[in-house]
Amino acid sequence: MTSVRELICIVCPQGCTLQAEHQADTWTVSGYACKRGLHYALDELDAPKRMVSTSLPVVGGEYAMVSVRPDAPIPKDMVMTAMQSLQGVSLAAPVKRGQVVIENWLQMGVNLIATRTVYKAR
Amino acid sequence: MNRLQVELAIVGGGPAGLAAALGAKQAGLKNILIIERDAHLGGILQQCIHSGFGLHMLGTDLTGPEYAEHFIEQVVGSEIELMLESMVTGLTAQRVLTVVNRYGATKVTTQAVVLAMGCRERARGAILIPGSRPAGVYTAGTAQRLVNLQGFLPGREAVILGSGDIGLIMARRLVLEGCKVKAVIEAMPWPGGLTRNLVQCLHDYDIPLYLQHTVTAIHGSGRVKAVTIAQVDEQLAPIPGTAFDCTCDTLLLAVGLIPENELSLQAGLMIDERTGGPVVTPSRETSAPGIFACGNVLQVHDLVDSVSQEGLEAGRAAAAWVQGRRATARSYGIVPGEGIRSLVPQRYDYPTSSVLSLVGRVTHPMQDALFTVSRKGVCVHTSRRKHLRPGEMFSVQIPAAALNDAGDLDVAVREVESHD
Repeated sequence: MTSVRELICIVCPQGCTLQAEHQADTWTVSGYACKRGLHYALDELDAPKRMVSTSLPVVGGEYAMVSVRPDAPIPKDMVMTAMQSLQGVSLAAPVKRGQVVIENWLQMGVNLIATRTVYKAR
Repeated sequence: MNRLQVELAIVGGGPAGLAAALGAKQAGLKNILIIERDAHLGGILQQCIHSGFGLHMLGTDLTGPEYAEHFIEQVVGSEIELMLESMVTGLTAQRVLTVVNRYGATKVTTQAVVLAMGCRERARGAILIPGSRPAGVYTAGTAQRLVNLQGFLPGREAVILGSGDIGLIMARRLVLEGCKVKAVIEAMPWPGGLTRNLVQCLHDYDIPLYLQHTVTAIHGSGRVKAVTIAQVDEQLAPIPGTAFDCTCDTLLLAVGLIPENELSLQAGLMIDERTGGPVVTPSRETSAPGIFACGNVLQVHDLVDSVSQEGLEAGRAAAAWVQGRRATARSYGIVPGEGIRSLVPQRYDYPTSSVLSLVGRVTHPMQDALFTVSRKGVCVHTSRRKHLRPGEMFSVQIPAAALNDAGDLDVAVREVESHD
């Protein structure tokens, strides 16, 4: 059985349209302009992943919030669960960009890291 | 009034201004000043906490704050001077700035100026939506600031007018925070933002997109209760009989950006009506000698990477001006024709020995399109594109060999038959 799926690559702003054909248990992908598109398509067909960003409150910082993200994309079907898990979480200043905020976030194999530096309030 | 003298003053400490300062520094300027109205550098990147920044410039996928810090660290680690929480309220064609801050007013005399003020959002007043004036109507950027920097939700059930990137990004952001986004409404027949944002912001969360629709009324007293949505015709006028109400407590407006050019007007700079920004040469010099402009003050860019690139180049050009390497070539016009909505630069120098790089936007989506550049009715360069969309900036490189005579250039783009 052959099945065909069309995907739009989200790796870069070019947004290539990709064709994926399923035959005898393997996907053949075409339409990508670079290797990252091929990897995106294979991931998307097998186990889609997404990057997710949010902000957490900082206590005693020069700003009220610090932005965070995982250090690698997480499974797409975990995005809402992952967001809900951060309810009530706050950090203490100072926070350094790149600092690990939560190690092995929800056992997903990624660390949640700070994406900006927040010094203590003067 | 306080007095200050610098070689180069940069108005704005966002991505364009930061890159301009670094470009001028690398070109050997010692005496550089960045003037920024916020308490922190980074501009709008501070609130753009999503990823997708830096793929071209830094070869890695970063969030806005990370991308900004990469440049801020280089600026802070150099001798570039900063005036934060300082507003430039005046600029003359002789490159004298008036700066106001908590210490009073300062007159800054300069040899060169780079304008990097960015843009601001079009608000409700600019698009004239009838109805009452309840709380709950925000521009998308204001909502982004509230959610990402201040930790407040603008509401619980939102309708978003406008499908540009900011509207799409905010749709996803509100869903992640537990809000319901009932619809994204777009007056044009095609979405305004990048395709990747349609996929990862709307499709992923099953948010409906209504093309060729608009919001025709806002209801509620005290707080938004509902909006009326109607289909529009090709002239963007609402079609009678198509209106329906959608309950919501929040309306976000993502209806376009306006380059912030009050200072440019004060200095008497020539403004391009299509871009809303100053008319510039390839080195991003405006119609006033020694005043340069880069980033979103010039035209609204899709990607911060191209803003940074333009900032670096404008900074280098400003340094060359201060160092006395001034252009002696005559400049000619670059005139947008069929299929072209906007084009930068608007002037080029002749004679020239370098490639002329044009960036701009098309009027409507095209397949198998051909750009033609002609001078005095004679075609000097053509360039093919598979797909063009108004939401994505195009770029056309004209080789120096094609610029072998003086005269204005006419640029057009139209669909042609595919030869594949």
